[in-house]
Amino acid sequence: MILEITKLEKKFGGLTAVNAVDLSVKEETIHAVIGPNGAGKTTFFNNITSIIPADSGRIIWKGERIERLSPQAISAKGIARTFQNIRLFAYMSVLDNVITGTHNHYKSFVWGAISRNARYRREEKESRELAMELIEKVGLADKRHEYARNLPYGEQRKLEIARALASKPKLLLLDEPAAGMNNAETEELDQFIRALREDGLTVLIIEHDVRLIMSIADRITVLDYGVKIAEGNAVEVQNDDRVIEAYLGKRRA
Amino acid sequence: MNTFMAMPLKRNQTPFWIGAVVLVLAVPGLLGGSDYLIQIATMMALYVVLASSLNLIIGFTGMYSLGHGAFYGIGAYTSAILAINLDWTFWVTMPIAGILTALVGAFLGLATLRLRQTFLVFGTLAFGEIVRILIMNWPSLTRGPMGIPGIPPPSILGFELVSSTQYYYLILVFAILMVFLIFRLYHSRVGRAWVAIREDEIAASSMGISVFGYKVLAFTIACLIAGLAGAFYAHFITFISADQFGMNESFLILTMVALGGTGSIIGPIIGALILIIIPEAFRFLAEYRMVLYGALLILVIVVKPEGLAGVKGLFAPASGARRFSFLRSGFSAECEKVEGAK
Repeated sequence: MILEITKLEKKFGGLTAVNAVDLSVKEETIHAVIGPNGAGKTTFFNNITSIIPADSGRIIWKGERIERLSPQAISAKGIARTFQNIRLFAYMSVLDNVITGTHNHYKSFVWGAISRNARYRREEKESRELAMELIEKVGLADKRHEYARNLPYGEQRKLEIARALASKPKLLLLDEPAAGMNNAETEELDQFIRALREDGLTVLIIEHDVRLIMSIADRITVLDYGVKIAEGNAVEVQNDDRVIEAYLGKRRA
Repeated sequence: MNTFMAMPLKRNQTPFWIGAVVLVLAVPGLLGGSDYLIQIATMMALYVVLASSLNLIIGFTGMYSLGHGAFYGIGAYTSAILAINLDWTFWVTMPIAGILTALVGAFLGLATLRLRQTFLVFGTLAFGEIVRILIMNWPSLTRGPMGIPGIPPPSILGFELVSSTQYYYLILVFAILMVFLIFRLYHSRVGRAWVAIREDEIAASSMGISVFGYKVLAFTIACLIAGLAGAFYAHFITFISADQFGMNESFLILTMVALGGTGSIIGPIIGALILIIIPEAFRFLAEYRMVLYGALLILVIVVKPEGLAGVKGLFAPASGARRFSFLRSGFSAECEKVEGAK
């Protein structure tokens, strides 16, 4: 298990957004977290990445506790994410957005920037090449000089994934990556995420597109009102009474 | 219209613009114009530096500072006091002035940069007033309201720079150096981190950028440069007093950045040039030129909120949904609170 979460809890005032959730993510799998609106999925992601630290519980990443680390330290550990309400650097070019994703891997600082010494030039070249590679992979190469804000919605989502990948993560957290995408784009995303798994990445994904989830997820965890109500593969989850109840209401006898 | 202005990071253009501005600045010297014109050109070069350094804080990193005039003043007073009381040369007092100002800036940054935007505005405004009042009420060191006269001019290899043309070139070199330095910082890993913070602090922190650290860094470098500019100013004008570095000064520099354009290299330069020329060119209008000045500013803010050649305005939304972000409540406000508490 690459990521092990035990008894994670987060309260906002009287509302328990994440309630004693346990989750284990196996290496090189696609693990989905689903649930009705307001089930606490995004808060759960924010807890893992420390953007909103959890109140209690443990998050163990490769045998090391990380729940008290800062977001930037967690990024340095190899956990990258995208955001439900896209958080691109709007007034930055597509290319610079992705290059910024490589921030962790380089050390050039004020002196390097001013003197443009050998290390600075090597780092700039490397990060630019990696960024271009990723931009080509998501099909935005000809738009690399556009401001991120000028891209259509679907392409903004792709750019966010490219930016997250630029930090060369081991675990990628995707928060509703298919939202706002059309069928063709969702199909493309399906292939793309599978390819990431083949490349050795572990993916934790929140998604409302049931077809996408059932198609790619190796394992599915269902949250409702902050509580884990079911876990298993696609078939097991689909036939779970509590899941059906959470989504559709109680079956009449 | 202006499609090239809207394109991000066209590298080949910025050096061209810098070259053009250099030429403009060099004209009075080349023509051997009157002392009056050369003095104006010298002030332009100084304000180019001040506006560009404030742009590091406001335009690149998206923070606010209404106390930049105070840092300028700290630099000027430090260099003047050291030069007069200890008889040190300008080439020693100037860097010391810069470093001391940077230290004060770093200290203020560490204390205030965790504040949300609105509070940061007031914090820096208050700091500016504190510095001015401190200068006024510390006569044993600063001669208080009397100011410091007779600041010695700098010398190069034993040769004193006394003529305004000589001084003009000295400050021109300084200005070009500082703009070049800011240009290189902007187009680097450090500059990208600053812009990322301006655009979205939460996304920046999940990219591994230390938000608070880079904010303090931008603030410190901006203060260092303002302090150096203050030292150059003090030895050029030879008389300094507290009222030269008050709130008006801070607002003038801020206006230059807002008018010329936030977040670009060329913007603050244009702003500085325009706002030095206007009061001089329209002297015949006497006080009415301030009306003109105000009207121009309002026009620019309405028509081009990002300034004449800026990237992103002071109040521009990051994306459509984030307009009036200070009114946001609920989840994202919670995020920012948590972010701020770190």
